[in-house]
Amino acid sequence: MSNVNIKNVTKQFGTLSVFDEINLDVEANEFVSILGPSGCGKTTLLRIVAGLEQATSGVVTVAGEVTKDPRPDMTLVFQNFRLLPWRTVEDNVAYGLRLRGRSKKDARIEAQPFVKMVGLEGREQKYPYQLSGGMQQRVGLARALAIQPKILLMDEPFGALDAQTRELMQDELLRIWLSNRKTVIFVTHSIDEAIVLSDRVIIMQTNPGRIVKDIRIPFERPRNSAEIRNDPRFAKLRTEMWHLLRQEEINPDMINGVSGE
Amino acid sequence: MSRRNVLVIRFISAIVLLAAWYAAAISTGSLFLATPHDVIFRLGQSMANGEFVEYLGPTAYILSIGAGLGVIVGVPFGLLIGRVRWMQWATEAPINILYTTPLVALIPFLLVIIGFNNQLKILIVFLFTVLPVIINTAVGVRTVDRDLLELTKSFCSKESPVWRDVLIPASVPAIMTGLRIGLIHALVGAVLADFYAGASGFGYLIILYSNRFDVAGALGPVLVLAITGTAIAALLKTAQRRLSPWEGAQQ
Repeated sequence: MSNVNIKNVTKQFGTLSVFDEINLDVEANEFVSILGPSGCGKTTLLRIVAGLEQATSGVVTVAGEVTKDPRPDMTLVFQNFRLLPWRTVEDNVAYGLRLRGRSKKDARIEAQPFVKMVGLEGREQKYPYQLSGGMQQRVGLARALAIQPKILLMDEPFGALDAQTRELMQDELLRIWLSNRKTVIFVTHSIDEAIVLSDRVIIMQTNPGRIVKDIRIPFERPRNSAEIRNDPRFAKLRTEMWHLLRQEEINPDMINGVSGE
Repeated sequence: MSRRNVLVIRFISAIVLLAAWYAAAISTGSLFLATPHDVIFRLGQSMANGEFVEYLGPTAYILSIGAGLGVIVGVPFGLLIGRVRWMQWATEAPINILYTTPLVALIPFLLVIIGFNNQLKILIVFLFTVLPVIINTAVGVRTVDRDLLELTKSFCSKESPVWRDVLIPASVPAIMTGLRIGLIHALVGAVLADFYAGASGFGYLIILYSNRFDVAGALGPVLVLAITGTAIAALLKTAQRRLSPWEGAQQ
């Protein structure tokens, strides 16, 4: 099993409360997006699941085990790629395999299908600085997939890419996920991206960070992002989510807070 | 600026410098400053009569041992104190004090303790080399991208692969900078050691010629030292670019 359960998780930095009492259950092989404005704590929540940060209270269980540290069956794809600049594409993809004890040669052989999967065949010997941002994140994705994790955590992975590349990458991810299903928690602030990719979209708001809505996405798979965007249900979902996020912005408390005394 | 323009500017600057040297030498007279061609001529003479090699030998010896030890000790030590917190705290103050103290000032004390011999000279060269190597290497390790260290954590990496995958490759440029500064300091240390600690070596050759009022002769070894230092710096800079091609290519 590879379900993720977040129970009563709170996070405070000093006296500042990032979020209170978050509860979220993600089923095995489900694709769930967490959508929210910046400052709602969505990235912090993901980092707590990843074991890179500790919850102030509450528990995260992964596959039934209480989890406080990074796990070998779970990987995180970062927004800023975090490739090793001194390693080729091939060796960056093989990074996690090397850490799991494979020899350099075996790790490369095992990484090859993943290089192919993300469409980087022929670029194995390039260095990250020789690649575009989109290609760099393909390497990041292949590196995460190569260790064949049961759970994939993605922290705004396409946030640093231009709009066109971003849509291409979404289609790639749809295709890859379909052929290689796993539990995915995907953090984003793009409504379209969340709808196109997910089985469920969790909407968060700020001050304090909290979950306000859990929306099931009805489109069947395989999906085509262009078709989905033209579907009338897409427009409806988009409007609904937009209102939920917008409410946040015109929240009277916030306005009072800003204009203050 | 085009490559050609850069070359032209460099060439002109070299010509101006050389002309200034001639002007100074001619106006002060050969007792105080020799002309470039006199210096080259005397250098050729001292090479031909064997003096040059005779005095170069001992200095080359203490330089290679002292600087070699400095690098062999300095790099691992710098790596360690860059990574291990308590070692940083334990060594930071003494290293900084030693680094900011003019090492020349310590030579008389070392002389009393060790005496006029090669060990003293090697120790002087070692001290001159090791400090910049340690300091630069440690800074290199300490300024490794936190995000990459977090990446190793998220992949459940153990400590030794973190060194192999991130710490050492990320520190290469800083280590090379340390080597560059360390080896140039080593040259300074070697000449000083010859000045203070014994009637042998390349540094002593400079004194010997000066005492004979042979200015052109004395300037020969100085010229050789200057060229050697510049060559070391250029060589290591090229090596650094080769070893870390991603530096400067990012963004």
